[in-house]
Amino acid sequence: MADHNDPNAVNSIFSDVDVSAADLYDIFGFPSNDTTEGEKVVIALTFSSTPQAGTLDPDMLYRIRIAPDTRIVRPKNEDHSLDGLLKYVDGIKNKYESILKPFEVRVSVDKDQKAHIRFINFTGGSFSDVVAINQTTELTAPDGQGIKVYIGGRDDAFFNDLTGFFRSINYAPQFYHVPHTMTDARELKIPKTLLELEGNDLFNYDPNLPTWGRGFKKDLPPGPLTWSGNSFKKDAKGNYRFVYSGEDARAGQNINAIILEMPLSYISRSPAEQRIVNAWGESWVLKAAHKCEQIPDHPFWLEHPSALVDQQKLDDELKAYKLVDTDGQAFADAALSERENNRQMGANNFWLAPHFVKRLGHLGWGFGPSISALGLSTSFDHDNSPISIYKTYDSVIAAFPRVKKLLFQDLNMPDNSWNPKGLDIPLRRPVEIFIPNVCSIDMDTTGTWPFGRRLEDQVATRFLSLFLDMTASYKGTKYHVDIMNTQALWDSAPIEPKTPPNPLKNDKIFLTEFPYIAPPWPS
Amino acid sequence: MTDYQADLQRIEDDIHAIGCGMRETRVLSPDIGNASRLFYRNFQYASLTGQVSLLRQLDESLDVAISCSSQPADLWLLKAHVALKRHRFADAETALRTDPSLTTSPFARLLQSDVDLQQGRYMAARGAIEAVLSVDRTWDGLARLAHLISLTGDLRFADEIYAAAEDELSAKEMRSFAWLEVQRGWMHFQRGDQTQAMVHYDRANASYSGYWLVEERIAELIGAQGLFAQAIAAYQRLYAASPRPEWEHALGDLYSLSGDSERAHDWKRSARSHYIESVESGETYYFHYLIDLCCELAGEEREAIEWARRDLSIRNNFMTQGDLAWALYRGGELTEAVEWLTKALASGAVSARLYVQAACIYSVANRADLGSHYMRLAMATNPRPARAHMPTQQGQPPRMARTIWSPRITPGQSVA
Repeated sequence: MADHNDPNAVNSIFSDVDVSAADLYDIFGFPSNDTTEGEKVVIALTFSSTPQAGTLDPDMLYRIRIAPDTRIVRPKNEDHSLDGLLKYVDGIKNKYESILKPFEVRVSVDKDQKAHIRFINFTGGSFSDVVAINQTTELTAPDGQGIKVYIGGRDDAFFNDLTGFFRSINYAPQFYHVPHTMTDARELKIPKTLLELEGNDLFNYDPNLPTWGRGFKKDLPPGPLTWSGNSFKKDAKGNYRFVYSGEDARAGQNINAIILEMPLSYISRSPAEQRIVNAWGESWVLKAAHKCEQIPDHPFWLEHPSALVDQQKLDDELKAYKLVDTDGQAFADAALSERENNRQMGANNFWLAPHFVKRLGHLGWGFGPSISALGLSTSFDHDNSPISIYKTYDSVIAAFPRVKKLLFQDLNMPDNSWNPKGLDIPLRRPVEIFIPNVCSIDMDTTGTWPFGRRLEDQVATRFLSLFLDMTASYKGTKYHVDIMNTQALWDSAPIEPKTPPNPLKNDKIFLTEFPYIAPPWPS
Repeated sequence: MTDYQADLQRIEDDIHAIGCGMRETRVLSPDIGNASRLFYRNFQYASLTGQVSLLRQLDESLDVAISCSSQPADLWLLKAHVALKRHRFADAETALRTDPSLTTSPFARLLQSDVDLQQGRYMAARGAIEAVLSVDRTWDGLARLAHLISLTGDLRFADEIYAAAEDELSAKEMRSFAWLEVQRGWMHFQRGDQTQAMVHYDRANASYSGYWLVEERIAELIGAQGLFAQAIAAYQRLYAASPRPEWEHALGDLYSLSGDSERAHDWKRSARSHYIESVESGETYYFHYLIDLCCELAGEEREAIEWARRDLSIRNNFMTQGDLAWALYRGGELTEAVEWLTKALASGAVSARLYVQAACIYSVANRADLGSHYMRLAMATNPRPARAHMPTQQGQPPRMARTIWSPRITPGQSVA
C-alpha cells in the first residue's frame, strides 16, 4: 500500500531518473462511514504528481483491480511448517488465478485532461464515463447505484520518515550519488538496524549535515562500503541513537490520486458473505508503437454506456500499454521485493514467497538484535545476538525456522475499536498480509491496517511491529501493531531521540467526507 | 516547434538548471551527482545534434572529472560511449575495463559488444548481447541484436527483433522509437525495398518530428529513386541547418548522378577539405568517408588506400576490409585487394556493397566466374540500386545507367 519506493526504472531516488507519473505511491482501502443506501468501500490509489498535482499524464493508464472474497477460515491444527506455508501460498495462488476474477477500474486522461473511467465486469454492471478532473463526480452504475469518483491532485496522505527507513536498511542511493553501474551499491552490506551502529559513518546521522538524506546527497566514497564494528552506538548517557527521527519526509508534498467510494453490493453479488474487498493498483504506460495509434475518444461509449465493449477489445487496449508499477500492501516493494523491476507482480506475487522468507530472515538478523537491545521482545530468533548481523540466505529451508514465529503470529490490535461489531474475526498474520500483495479490506472492521488501510494509519511503524513478539507485554499490555507509535514506550527506552520512528499524523488533516484526502498544497 | 526542437530545448534548459544548481552547492561539496547529470545531458545534446566536435570537448572534460571523482564508474561508462561515437574504439575498450563495476553492468557489456562488432568479433558481440538480453531485456540490446542478424541476411528475423525492440519502448521514448524505425527503414533500403523503407521513414517522422536523422534518410532514398532535384533540396535544407561534410559529400554524389559534374566536383572538394580538417584536428570519424571520396576523385587513389589502412587500423571488420580491398583495386594493387576481399567475404556478412566490390575486383583479377557470382548476389541482395541520368549526345535519347548508391553508415554505429 505504501510504495514510495519503486521499481528502479522509475525510482527518482537515482539522481538522473526523472520522477514518473507511473510511480505509484499508496493504496488505501477502508469501509466508508457513509452507510446511507448500504455499505460502501473507499479505495484510493495515489501516485506521483507528474507533470504536476492536478494534471495527469495522457500517456498513462491506471488500473485498480478489485476482487471480493469471503474471509479466510483457518483450519484447526493449522500447519506452521514450511510445507504448510507453501500449501497456503498454493491455495491462494489457485484462488487468484482460477476463482477470483478481479474486476477493474481503468482510468486515463485525454489531451484535454478529461478523465476516461471504465468500470469493468462489476456485479452491478460495466460502464464508462468521462469526468472532469480535480472535482468529485457521482456516477450512476447500470444497477442504479451511485459511485463517487475523484481523479486529480491532493496532498500526499503518506506521512513517514523515509530517510529513517532508508537509514535502517543502509540504502545508499538515498544518501549518496550512486553510479548506476554499481548495482551492488544499493542496500550496502551493513546490518539492518533500528539503532545506529558504532562507527557506521556511511549512514549515521551527522549533526553538521542535517539535510543529508533529506534532499542532500554526498558523493559515494571509494570504499570499502562496509562496516566492521561490533556494537551499537551509544552517547555519553548510554543511550542508543535511533535511525529514525519521527519527521515527515512527505510534508508539504502533493500527489495525484484516483479515489473511489463504491457500494459493496456493486462489487459483490453476496455482500453478506463476501466481507473482504481485495484491491491493488497498477500503472501502465502507453507503448511508443501505439502513441500514434491511440484509441480515440469514442462517442459510442458515452451514448451507450451500458453496452461496454467486449473483453477482447479491452484486452487490445491493454496491449497498447506496458505495466510499470504495482501497489498492494504497504512496504511490499521497499522492504520485501527490493524494488526490482521484475518483481512488480501485483497480487500475483506468490512466486516470491520463498524470496520473502529469505528476505525476512535477512531483515530479522538486523532488526531483531536492535529490538532486543532496547529491552523489547522480538519475534525473530537471533540466538540472543548482542548486535545486528548482516546475514543472507540462499535457502528458504535455512531461513524458515528463524522467521516462522514472525510469519504466523497473530498481530494484536491496540484495542477493540477495529472490530466495532465485536465479531469473531481472527487477527491477521504477516503471512496473510504480504501474500498476495493486495490491500485486503475487511468490511466488518474499521479497515485499519492490517484489515485494510485507513488514511490515518501509521503503517510504516506498524510494519516494524511485525518484528515484535506479540506474545510479550509492555507494562502489562500485550504488544500490538501500534505499540511503537506509543510515546511512553520511547520515553522509557535507552534511546535518543525519544520519538516514535515515524510521525503520528499527516501534515494536513484528512477530510471527514469524500474524497477524504486533503486538497493539494499550492504550487 | 518540432519534437526534435522541443527535446533540444529541454536538454538545454536542464543543462542550464544543473549548472546553476552546481554553482549553488559548490560550497558544500563537489557534486558528482549533478556533474554526472551535466555530462550526460551534454552527451545527449551532442548525440542528438550529431555534432562530433562537441563530443571531443565532452571527452576532454570527462578526463578532468574522472580524475577528481571518488566513484567515476558512470563517467567511465559515458567516456566509453563518447569514444565509440568518435570512432575511438581502443579508447572505448580501455574505458570499459577501467572500473570493476563495468564488467557486470548490462549497458557496459552492450557497449563492449559494439566494440567487438567494429573489430570484427561478431560471435563475441552476439554472445554478449544475448547474455545481457537473457537477464535484462532492453530495447537497445534488442536493436543491437537485430542489426547483427541483419548482417547475416535474415531480414525477416532482424525486422521481428526490431519490432520487439520497439515494443519495449513507452510513449516517453518516441525519439528512440523513431531511431528504430530509421534502422528498419534503412535495412529495407539496403535490400532494395524502397517502398517498405519509406513506410518506416514516414512512421519515424510521424512519431518524432523534425529529426535530421530521419530527413537525411528520406533524402537518401529519394535520391536513390532518381528524384535528384528533391533530394538535393532536402540535403541543402539539412546543410543550411547544420553544415556537415558528409552532406556536402552527399550533394556531390547527387549532382554527379544527375549529370552535373561541375557542381558535383565543387561539393566533393569542399567535403574533402572539411574531412581533412577534422582528421588534422585529431578526429578519426571521417576516415571511411574519405575512402569513398578519394576513390571517386581522379588522382586520389593512393590517398584512398592510406585512409582505408588508417580506418582498418582502428577497426577491423568486413566493411573496412572491403573498403581497403576496393581502394587497392582502384589503385591497381590487385593482389592485395584480393587478399583483403577474401577476408571480408569470410565474415559471411550479407552486403550488396561488398558483393559489388567483390564482383569488380574478381572480374579484373581473372576470376570472371567469381565476378559474375558476386554480381548476381549483389543484384539479388539489392535489386534496386540508385539510378543515374547520363548527359545525352546530340540527337540521341538519354541513356540510363546504373550505379550503386553507397550508403554512408557503417555497421555497429552506436544507438541514439
